[in-house]
Amino acid sequence: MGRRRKDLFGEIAGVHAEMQRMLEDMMRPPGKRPLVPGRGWQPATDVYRTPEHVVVRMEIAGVDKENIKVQFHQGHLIIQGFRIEDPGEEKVSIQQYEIGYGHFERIVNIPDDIDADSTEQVYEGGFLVVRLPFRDGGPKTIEIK
Amino acid sequence: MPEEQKKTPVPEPPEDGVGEIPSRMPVLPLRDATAFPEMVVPLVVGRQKSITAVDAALLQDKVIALVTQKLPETEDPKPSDLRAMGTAGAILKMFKFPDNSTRILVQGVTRIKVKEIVQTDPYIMAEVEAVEDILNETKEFSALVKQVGEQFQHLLSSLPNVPEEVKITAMNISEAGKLADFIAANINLDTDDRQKVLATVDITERLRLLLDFLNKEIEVAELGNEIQSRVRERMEKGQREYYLREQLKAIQQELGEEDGKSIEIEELRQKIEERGLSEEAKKEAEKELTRLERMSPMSAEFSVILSYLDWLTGLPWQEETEDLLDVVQVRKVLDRDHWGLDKIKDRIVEYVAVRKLNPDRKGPILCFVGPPGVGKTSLGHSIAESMGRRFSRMSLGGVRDEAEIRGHRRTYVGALPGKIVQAISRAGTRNPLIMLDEVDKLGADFRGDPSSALLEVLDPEQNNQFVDHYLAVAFDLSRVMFIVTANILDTIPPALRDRLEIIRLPGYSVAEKVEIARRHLIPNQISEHGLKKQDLTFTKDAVRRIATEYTSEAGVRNLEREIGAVCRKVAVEISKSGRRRKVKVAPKTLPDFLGSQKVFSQTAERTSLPGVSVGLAWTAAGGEILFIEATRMPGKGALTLTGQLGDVMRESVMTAHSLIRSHAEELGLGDVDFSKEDVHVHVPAGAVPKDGPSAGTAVYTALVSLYLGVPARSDTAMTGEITLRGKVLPIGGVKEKVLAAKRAGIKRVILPELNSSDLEEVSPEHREGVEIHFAKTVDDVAGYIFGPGTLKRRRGRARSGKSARTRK
Repeated sequence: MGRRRKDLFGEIAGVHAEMQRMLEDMMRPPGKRPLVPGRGWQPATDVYRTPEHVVVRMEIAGVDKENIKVQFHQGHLIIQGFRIEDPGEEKVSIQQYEIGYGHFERIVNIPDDIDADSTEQVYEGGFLVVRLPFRDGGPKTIEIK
Repeated sequence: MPEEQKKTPVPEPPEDGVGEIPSRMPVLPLRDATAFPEMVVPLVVGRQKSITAVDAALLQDKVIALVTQKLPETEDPKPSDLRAMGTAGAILKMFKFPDNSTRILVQGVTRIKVKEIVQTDPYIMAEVEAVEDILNETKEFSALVKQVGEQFQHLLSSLPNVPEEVKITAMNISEAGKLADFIAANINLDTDDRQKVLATVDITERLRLLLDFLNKEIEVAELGNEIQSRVRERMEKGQREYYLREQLKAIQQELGEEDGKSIEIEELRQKIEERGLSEEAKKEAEKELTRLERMSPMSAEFSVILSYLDWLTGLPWQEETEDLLDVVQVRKVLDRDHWGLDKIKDRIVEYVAVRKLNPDRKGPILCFVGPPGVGKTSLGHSIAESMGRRFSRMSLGGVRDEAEIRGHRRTYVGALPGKIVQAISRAGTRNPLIMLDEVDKLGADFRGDPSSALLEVLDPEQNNQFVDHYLAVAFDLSRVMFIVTANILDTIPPALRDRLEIIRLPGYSVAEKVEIARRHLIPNQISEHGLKKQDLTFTKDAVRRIATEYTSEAGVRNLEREIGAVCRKVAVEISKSGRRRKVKVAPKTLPDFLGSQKVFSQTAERTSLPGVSVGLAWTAAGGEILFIEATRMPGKGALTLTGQLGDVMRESVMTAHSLIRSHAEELGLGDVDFSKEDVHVHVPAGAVPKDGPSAGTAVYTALVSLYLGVPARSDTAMTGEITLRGKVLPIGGVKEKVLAAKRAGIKRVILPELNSSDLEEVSPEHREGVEIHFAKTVDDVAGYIFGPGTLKRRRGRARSGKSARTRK
């Protein structure tokens, strides 16, 4: 039975996820193709600023270091990667499926003036932390129009 | 965890837009939902096959075919039940509940065409083919894109509760096909319409379709808004009023005036405390007061409860007057207000005396019976005054509805308590003297029987817990003194009559009337008309004249009226001339004031023809004389009766006639051939209905006189019921009849022997000038009328006048 029910869980999850993907879709630089199937999954990501850096923190436990690709392009930070679904054991039935596997991609909008060449990336304890230093002076206040 | 981690190579993200989907995948049939590419859709999976399909997909590529059923009711869709186009979707999340129902979150990837169903058990599996949008960038296409975008924004602005994100996203979708799908997924379309959009691969056509749907939705939305705003307008008006009223209350409070409602409630609360209500009444009152407090003064029930509480607290729960049981004083007051009526005054004094000695004794209920205008009500006033009680009177004439006595339940519109409670409330004490007038005119119909309600009121055993329907609590009536009045006794229900002590006021003789006029009526009328005592005097003869020639009644009402007429004329004169001159009214000048004589003595009317006799009747207006006329003519033996005679009277005429015929020989009428004669008996006046057996002797006399050809003595009247054997039976209203005879100038009255004891009740004054004879049989009657000699002469056998008694 596939009935669309008006329940909060589905609505919020659905609409929000949709919006998120669409917004990020708009930000994708041309030429960069989206991933399939279903655009993959989206890891939880925090973005904040310190006096000296723009910090992007992504939760991607289980992703091998070599399967992570970080790019900065025209004011957008693009993080892509792949989480291998370990088929180590034989699955007979599935009760719950929530962890994203396979391709992932997040695009974060960074309008600040940063030095893209001196970004730091640390992957530790399942967290990928990307630090983007401000080029000069402090953080630019972003006007919210 | 295995020892060796196999390194699965990371696949490259594909270059082209859509990417590959497997050619074979499990199918999740959707009842009525539609999944569009790019859309993230939450689904609840309940059917077993569907759950199995989801399980299978998760164990493989996590891709599933979302295909909508042709009919939503189909439980177990076969390949033919599924539509041709669907969407391939990737399962993002899945949760299973203990009852095995499953929730999944899928995102559509691409449109697919279902090529073939290759498996239906344990779940449906299909061969599918990805379908790409067809894009033709024509001018029409660009225009459509723009229009669709605009209309969607228009629609969104007409709808309530649209999240901002939807608007922004829609504005920013660059690809037309995606825009179309997004819109189709987010507007209110039915399944078939949505499926049409899904099945339309050509984007231009898809946009055209969508524009059509959008226009329809906009119309609906705008209509909905119109209705909404109208509703809102109405609500706002109500709110505005409420707001203004609240302001009013606040202003009142500022001025220091408490708002009206709370003042009233406080007052009532105080009253409930102070008035000494019974336990039961207090409880009820407090309950209602609480309700009142919570209620808005504007609600209709507010005033209903308010008036109820007003009634309840307004009753004299504790107030009472102390009885002045001074016997001398009582007699004094009665004498002051009424002339004559000695027997009645004696009775009242007895009543008071007994009450003084035994205050708890529940005395009998006095009932004054008499014609109108004899002073029944004013007697009540005097009694109340002499005893120091408040006086309240209520009329029972024409009361047919039990609710008049007991009140209506509060729930009825315009409900009021019954007359009894109202009378008590008017009196202001719980021991007033309540006069129940005209109890002989109580009616009864489908609305109930008020006389039974009255029984309860008057019953000393029950009336201390009298429950009025309106009050709904018991009130103690046991301290009330009830007096009842009536014009006649016959129509009083027997159960009620039992409880009453009947006191008859038969009326007044002319002499009594003159005295009453002199002492009471004339002074009253003079002061009523603003005259002074010296302005107007009546001679005794003048008053007598008025009583005999201008009125014909047992009471004094009309007498008073005529006196009033005289006063009026004098008042006019004084007003006109401005001078006051002493006016003396004598018999000679009477016509100047009252016109010519109105009432002529009926005795003068009597003729000296045979076939006429004088009877005596007892009516609601007192006693009266009536004439019985009989006439004979050749015929066949018929007996005609006229004069609006009731059945009983008719029968008595027939009895008299039969009596005569059967004793024709003895009466000396042996030569009369009854079969060749018709007899007609008439009792004037023709318009007045008459009934009753007491005219028996008079009818007999008239007929005997008719047959004998001898007129009856013109100064004699008689009354008595006759039997077929010639016996005379007793009758009622002796006092009234004797008085009536006297009034009419009759000198002799023949009464049934069996009524001899009643004669003692007739006051000497009323009997003065009237000879009373008693008769046991019709022969006695005939003897008095025709003289014993007349009959003797006509028959052979003599009857001994054994039982002839004469009494003066």
